[in-house]
Amino acid sequence: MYHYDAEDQRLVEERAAQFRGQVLRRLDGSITEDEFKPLRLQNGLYMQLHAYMLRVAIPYGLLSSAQLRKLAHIARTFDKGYAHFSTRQNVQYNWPKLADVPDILDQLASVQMHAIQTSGNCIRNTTSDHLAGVAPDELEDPRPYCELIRQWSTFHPEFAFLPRKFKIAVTGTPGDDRAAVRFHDIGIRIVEDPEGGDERGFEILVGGGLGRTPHIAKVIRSFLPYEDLLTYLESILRVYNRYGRRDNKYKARIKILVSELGIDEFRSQVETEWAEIREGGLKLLREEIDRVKTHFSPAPYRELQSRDLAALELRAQPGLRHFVRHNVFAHRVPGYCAVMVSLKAPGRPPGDASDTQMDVLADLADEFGFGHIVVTHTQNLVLPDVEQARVEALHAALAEHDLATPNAGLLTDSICCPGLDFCNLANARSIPVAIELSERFEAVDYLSDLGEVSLKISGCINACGHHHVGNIGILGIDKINEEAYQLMLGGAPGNDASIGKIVGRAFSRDEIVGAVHTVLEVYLAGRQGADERFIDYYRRVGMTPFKEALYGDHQAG
Amino acid sequence: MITANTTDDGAAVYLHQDGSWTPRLSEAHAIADEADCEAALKAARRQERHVCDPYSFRVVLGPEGPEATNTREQIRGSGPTTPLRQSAARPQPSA
Repeated sequence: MYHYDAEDQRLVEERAAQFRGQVLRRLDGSITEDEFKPLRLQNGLYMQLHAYMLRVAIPYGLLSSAQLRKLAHIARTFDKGYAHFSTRQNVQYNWPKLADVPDILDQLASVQMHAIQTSGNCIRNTTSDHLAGVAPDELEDPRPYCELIRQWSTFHPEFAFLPRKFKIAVTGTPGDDRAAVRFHDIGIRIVEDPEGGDERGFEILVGGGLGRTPHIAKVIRSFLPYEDLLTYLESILRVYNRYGRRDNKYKARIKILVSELGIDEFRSQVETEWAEIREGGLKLLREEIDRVKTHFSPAPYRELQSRDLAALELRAQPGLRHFVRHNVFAHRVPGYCAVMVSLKAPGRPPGDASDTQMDVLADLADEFGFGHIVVTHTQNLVLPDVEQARVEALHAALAEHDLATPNAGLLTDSICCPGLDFCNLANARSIPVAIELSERFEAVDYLSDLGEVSLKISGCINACGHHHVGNIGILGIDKINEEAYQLMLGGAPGNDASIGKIVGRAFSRDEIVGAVHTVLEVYLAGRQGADERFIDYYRRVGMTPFKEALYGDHQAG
Repeated sequence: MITANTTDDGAAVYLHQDGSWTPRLSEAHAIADEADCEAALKAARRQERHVCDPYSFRVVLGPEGPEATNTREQIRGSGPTTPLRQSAARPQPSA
């Protein structure tokens, strides 16, 4: 993984020291909350319903075991003994005291971490595929490019006050988008040169996003040579910074600008800008890319024979069998696999991990891998380099700490925002809905029979729970002071991207879990065998059977 | 009712009749008159070293004192309704 040089280290230490002074001035009354607010937001510090919330950046989701131990230490020392992994591969502390935040930032800086670019209208933490570097179907590891984008965007003076926040995601596996690149302001896919050239490049998508007005990103350039990555991104940002709306927060994201201008006109403006700067100082040199790539060079894998994981699945006890089937992923190196550690145990808030669990996972990352842990945007953690022969032992160690729930990719592996239990913006609670669903559908055989079906829950229209792209999406709304929930079907975040549609009238808190059950029963009764996934069934039959089952003869709407 | 979050730790607090802040909604001062409420809000904003972004919201008077009428303020007053992930002592490896 990337290791800071002296300049990187100086930047984060100076930033922490600067914020210490700002906090002291807020606490002694020298500056007002209005003056302090933009400063704290630039350091990832929000005010939520019950306390401050500190969001810590995890660039492209990659952590070392030392960093995860530090996150555990911070949770134990400065918070309530747990942390929350977010839907953008970051981590959040829900209970820090203001006076402690500078010490937390110092602690983070000591392991090359920070809270920069986790709030405000800047270029946020760049996200990526959680199987980056190990997926067998990957063309090229996207993380060196994520790191280059991080270095380019951090403290970029031109883009510190954009019309709105700006999110970039990169995937190196064009055949299977696990990073939801089509739902980012800019999505980047590493692709082969369509002209047959030796060098790979990038397909650039722009104008995707969720929130109030979901959009699937459009292709602005089908092939961009690698050396032009930063100049082209800079050109897109310049056009957005110049013409993105600042008069209306709800129309300020780049997706609105692209939609209003049209992709062809937007592309034309970007290309005009690009012509000015393409040969400038941001042009990437092969030596610079190679320098960053050395930080992501292959781990010291042993020469192993590939084992038959299907055979292990067959002979294993039920707990391990389901774990191998759902939580173990193929690896590009023979004899290895990637293991998804679910943070969705029944009855637990999705994405939360205790300090003890984080310490355990850090130790297991050292014992069963090369000391790396990846945070997924689905709020789980991945141990990316596990020897297949040791999966059983790892499973046993995880199970001791409630970390072996075999539900990766299944219904109860839901994405869920903090909702009205914590968030200042939320209209309704989301975590209790996720918990009730996880308990109601706990039976692993039922979940396995359902197969791949994604459930995503947001407590408001801002869509931090990605409800638009859930096969089943739930959106919490405020219906005259009562929490209510809209049910959406048909969303998908990957290469077959689609935006879910609302089924009909919203359901009450008491009704929503039963409504999901009804949807599942319709699917199970109507699918053409277990191989027809929920999303495929929905696309074949449409909304009608679901509406009929949910609303009967009553008007849906 | 006037409420805010404390500067020190962000906790929800409510304005007492004497101008101090209490963490318990039931102990706070429900203001009946609109103009009095505006005046109290202005005074609260002057305490910006201690509290952030004061605002007013509607309450009803219950047997124990003022009660919030909307879910947001009910949760804000009583804390998250979800279980917090408990830290558990890590088992020591056997000798």
